Amino acid sequence: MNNNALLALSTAAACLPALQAKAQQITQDFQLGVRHYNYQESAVPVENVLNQQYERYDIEVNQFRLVAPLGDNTQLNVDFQHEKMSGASPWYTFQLPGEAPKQVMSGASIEDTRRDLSASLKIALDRDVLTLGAARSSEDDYESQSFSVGYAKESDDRLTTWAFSADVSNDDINPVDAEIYRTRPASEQSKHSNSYLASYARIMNKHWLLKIALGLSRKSGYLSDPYKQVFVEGALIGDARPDKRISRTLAVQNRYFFDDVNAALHVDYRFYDDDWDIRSNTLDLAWYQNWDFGIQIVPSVRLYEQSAAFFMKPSTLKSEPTEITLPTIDCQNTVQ
Amino acid sequence: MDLFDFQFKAMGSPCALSFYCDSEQQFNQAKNACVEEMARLEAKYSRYQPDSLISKINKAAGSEQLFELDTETWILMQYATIAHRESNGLFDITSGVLHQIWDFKNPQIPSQEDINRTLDKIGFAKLPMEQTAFRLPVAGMELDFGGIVKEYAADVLANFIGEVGIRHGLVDLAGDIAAAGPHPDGKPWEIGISHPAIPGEPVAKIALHSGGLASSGDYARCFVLNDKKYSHIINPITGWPVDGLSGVSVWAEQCIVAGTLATITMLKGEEEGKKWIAETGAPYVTIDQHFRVESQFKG
Repeated sequence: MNNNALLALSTAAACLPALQAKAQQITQDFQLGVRHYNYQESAVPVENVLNQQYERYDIEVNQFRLVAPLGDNTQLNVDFQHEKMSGASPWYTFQLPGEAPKQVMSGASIEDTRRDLSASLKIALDRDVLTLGAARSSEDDYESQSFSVGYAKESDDRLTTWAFSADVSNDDINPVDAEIYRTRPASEQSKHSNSYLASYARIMNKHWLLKIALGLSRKSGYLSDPYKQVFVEGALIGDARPDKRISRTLAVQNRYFFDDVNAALHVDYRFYDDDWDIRSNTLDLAWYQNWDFGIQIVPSVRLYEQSAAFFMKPSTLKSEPTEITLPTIDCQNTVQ
Repeated sequence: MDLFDFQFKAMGSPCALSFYCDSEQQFNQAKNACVEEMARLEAKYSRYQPDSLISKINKAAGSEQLFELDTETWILMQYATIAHRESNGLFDITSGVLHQIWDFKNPQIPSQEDINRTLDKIGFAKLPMEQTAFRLPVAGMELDFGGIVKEYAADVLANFIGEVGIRHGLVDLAGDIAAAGPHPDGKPWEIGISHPAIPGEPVAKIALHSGGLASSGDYARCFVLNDKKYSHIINPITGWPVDGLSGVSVWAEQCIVAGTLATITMLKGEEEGKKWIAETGAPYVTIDQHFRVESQFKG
């Protein structure tokens, strides 16, 4: 193509209000969905595990969804999820001098049930969309509730969308078997978090979509994993992280469609930075190639780098392993 | 799902709708909405309806009266700006006044003096492009959306029926065609391009799955004087009819774009027009004055 008339005119025509697909912001129909799935993890390779516990998680999930229009401008979404999990999970790593670190797994009879209920109300008025949401999740040892509010606005030409959202959540953690495992907190712990997101999305032209998002998150309270343990210089201690964390993210997403070859290039960059000194850069490149018969092939590459949190460092035994006594734990009798 | 057809007249032209619908009731609702939409666009943009927005603006040409353009009209004006720029001034929605001196019902060649006087009333670049304070600055100047609105209407109707759940349909507004999906079995609509001299005799057939197809040609209106053919396609810069292709049909995703590309191709004359349309990358069919057909449509 040697002149830009087709592209220029098509871009201008795409701005005509009557030619734009009306944003289906509010559903016209009731939708009811039920889904069941089963997730199983393969056993951990024998050579990587220290305590002969190779099985991993088995998770059964039942999901239920209701989407209901409440008049022309309002829509209600309700999601319920019931999740049953059993199996073992990585517990801590242990390294003998001169050997590769080995994983110590938790017992095989961990069992937990999670119930997750969330509801959101979406109110759409021409180019403004307001979303209010609430969610509650409960497990044997974990309770969480959160509230969110979001607002999105489209420009008159519908090419630009600004979106802002905020959410707060309160979590209560009651680790099981704290009386057996001294590394687990004996009393209820709580965690509070709030996060904010602002984004700008723009259809730059017929072929190019750009989105930029800025996020801020603040967490406080018990931010450790009560079941994780760390083997540090001969002692097994509980996972203990700082009780505050502030993180910032910047994400830039580009979608570029090439008519000639019926393919799209995705170029996404994400920057993450927090006050635990973790800083990461992620660059994702993906090529979405469409073929006949609805087949799509997506080669992609991700470049990722991350710095370690200031309290993390590799720990190896300085002394002889004979001085070490591994904790003896009867995993079969520890979990309800 | 059955195919329903409906013919009606709007914007001074024969129009046809062909939609696959689940019921006659669904078709009637869609059809009535399409007829209403055509009436809305005609009432707003027709030069021939004295109360239309365009007529009001034209009547006030040269005065201090200012108009506030609604979003749809304003974006059409923006579209016309792009078309004017991309055609180096050939596509000009103020050029309609040339038809006052080039009267194809009464074949005669206007004097160069008349042409020059008319050219003074033409010039898209003279327009103050302000949405809230729009006016035609020269008395006698006129806006003519005739080269845009029928094509735009075809897109609007095709888009509208898609939104009410009709996935297979064709809108044909006197040759400005927009498809809202192919036949239900996936086969395209077959569109015949008429022979310039023998109406009803197709010189080319185009398979239309989706998008818009528009044609421009000098065979509908022209006159021959002293063995020379004068086309109704008039160059707004020189004020003289273009000695160019006999016809061109162009495909683009939107019929409005196809129509603009076809018009610009005609205005550029045969050689330059063919070169230009090929460079846009849009599929097209050209017919020259000797009825030789060149097609760049695939399949």
